[in-house]
Amino acid sequence: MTPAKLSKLVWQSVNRNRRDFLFSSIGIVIGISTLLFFTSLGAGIKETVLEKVFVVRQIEIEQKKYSGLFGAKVLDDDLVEKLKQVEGVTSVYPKMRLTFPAGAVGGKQLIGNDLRVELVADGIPDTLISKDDIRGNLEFKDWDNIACSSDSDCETGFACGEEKICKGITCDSSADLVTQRQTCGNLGFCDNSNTCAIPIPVVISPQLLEIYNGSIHTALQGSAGSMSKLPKLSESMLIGLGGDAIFGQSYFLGKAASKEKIEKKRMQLVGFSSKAINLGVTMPIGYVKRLNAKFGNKETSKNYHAIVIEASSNDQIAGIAKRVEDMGYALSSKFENAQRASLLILLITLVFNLISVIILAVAAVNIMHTFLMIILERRHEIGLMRALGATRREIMLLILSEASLLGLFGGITGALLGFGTTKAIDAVFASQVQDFPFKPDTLFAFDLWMFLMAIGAALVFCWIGALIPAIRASRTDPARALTGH
Amino acid sequence: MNICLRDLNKTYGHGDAKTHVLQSVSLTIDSGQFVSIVGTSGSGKTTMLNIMGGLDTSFTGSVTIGDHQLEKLKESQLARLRNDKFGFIFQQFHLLDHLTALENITLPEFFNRDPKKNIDPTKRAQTLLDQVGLLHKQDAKPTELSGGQKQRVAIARALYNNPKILFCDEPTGSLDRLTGEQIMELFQSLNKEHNLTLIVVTHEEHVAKMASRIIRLEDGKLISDDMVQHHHEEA
Repeated sequence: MTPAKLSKLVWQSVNRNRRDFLFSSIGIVIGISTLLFFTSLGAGIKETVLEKVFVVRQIEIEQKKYSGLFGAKVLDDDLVEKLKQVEGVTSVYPKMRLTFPAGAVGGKQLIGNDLRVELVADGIPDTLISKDDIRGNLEFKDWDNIACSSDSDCETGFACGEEKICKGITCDSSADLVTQRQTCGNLGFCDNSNTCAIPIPVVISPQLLEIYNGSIHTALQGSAGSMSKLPKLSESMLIGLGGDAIFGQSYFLGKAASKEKIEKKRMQLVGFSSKAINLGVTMPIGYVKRLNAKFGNKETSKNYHAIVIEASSNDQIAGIAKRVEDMGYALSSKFENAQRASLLILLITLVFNLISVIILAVAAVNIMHTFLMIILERRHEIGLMRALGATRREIMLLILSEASLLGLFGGITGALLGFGTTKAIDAVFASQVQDFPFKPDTLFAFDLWMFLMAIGAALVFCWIGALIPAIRASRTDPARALTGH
Repeated sequence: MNICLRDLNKTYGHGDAKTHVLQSVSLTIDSGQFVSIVGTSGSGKTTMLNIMGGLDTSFTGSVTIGDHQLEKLKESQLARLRNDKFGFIFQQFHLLDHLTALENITLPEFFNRDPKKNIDPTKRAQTLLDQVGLLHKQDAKPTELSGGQKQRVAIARALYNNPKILFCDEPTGSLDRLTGEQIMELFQSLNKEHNLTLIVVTHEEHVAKMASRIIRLEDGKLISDDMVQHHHEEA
């Protein structure tokens, strides 16, 4: 039988028994919509939790807190090179914290007054920050260490120095901003020492913004003074804002042990990145290395406080983690939390999907019952088809094709219903649930494979349900069916 | 296509409950013959028809139709033979109520495996409907047709693939006498004009006598096999 003839026969049959088919498909529609709902919910939660709260596909190594007789193994450049050789590792990014007191002044553009705060900062390689995370004009890189061979390699306001590094040219800090810009370029400014400089580009964690908007802002509204006037913040409001960092002295910790002169440098927020430190600012590591060498402890200033390892896939993470622990280093608690969260989400998703599969199994039993009933009613028709030349295989194909049509209908309708339900819940969630840290725009995540899986599952369960009836139909004895014996 | 039965036996049940439906039936039906098989209820006439038509394959003995020995054919070969060479007509018509007369007639087309028979199903069905005098009823559903009309549609369906043999099981059983005779006259004309082999199972003597040969069965045994002399032929 050609596909066209089969399709026509199937359509005739389904059209005749449309009420029975419609009732049979209800179970499939409910099962598939539930399956798609829970799968997309699991994926959505996983995306929020594991991509924003905890970052998977990465391990962070820390120095062991409790070391043996010979002290803890340090995180240095040798280790970075060793880790690059580990199988499955695609990138290794050292992180270095400021190891001396530092403070910051800023906020006037936002709240009208400058705030003085402790500066917590770390440095990471430029390459760890995705270009998509940078929103401002200023690139996230070490502007104080631009190699050059001639002046043309440097930005406006900079000239190639003796050490083949771009150095700021002399300018007049008392001049107006336009004149300063003409001398020092759009990216630069004229600092207090009358030298052109480019601000230190910094990024902050989007979690910091979430925590501020979700919790701190609400708490500050009840406080006295200017803090109560702080607005809710968005990424676009903060990009480009700057402040002065004071390296070598903080408000609470006092001066650094080093006898070096306090250094004041301008910072500018250029973006938001999950790679940034949770509480504080993150800058290109070159700045931190130089500042630590200047103000920090000479023995430990070259050590990193953490090293981030990125794997090619999640599957590689466990193996790499084991290897790192064997090497005598500790994994950051973030990694363990991410693993725990990942497992928990997986388990919850599995449990809910199991419920969907049970609904589908019940639907399959219902389909079997309906098909058995339909086939009993169509005994004469099937007998007639056999008399007219249909083979057993063709009868079986006919019944399974009818089940396929039922599956396609149930699958597509179920997927649409499931998708519609998620959109409705998202709308309720957005309008009725108050803001909280990491509140996602949507609770669900969809991918093409989910829809294909939903329709595929509907087809499989319909085939399972129709298989026994199809076999029974194919075995119909035409002589008995037609003579009524 | 000659039909040749050799020592045909068919039983139901086992042990003491074993029933012999057909017992050592041997006969030959030549191509183009119009044969009636007559017998009381339970004599085995329908069973014999089903075996000859390849609908019932559980028998012993030999059934040869043309070059085909039915007991040696695979299920798919038998299905092809039924589609290609045989036509079936039943007492209950077995028309599908959800299809029109025209659609019922084109049903064999769905199982047609012969690419050479690439005919326009609608035109073929209309020709056949015209032949049985029901072209004006082509869009009617079976529920809108009388018994005689239903049987004519069933005959048109049986003729769809130009069969060589027409197997008819009590074709007039559900019709009044006059309509039954009209159907039998249609069979006679098909037999004469198209040299179609017709095998009609009936329990009605007046129907049986319209055939050219009458085979009688009793308790599964062949008890007589007679040629019929028709008056109009004698005249």
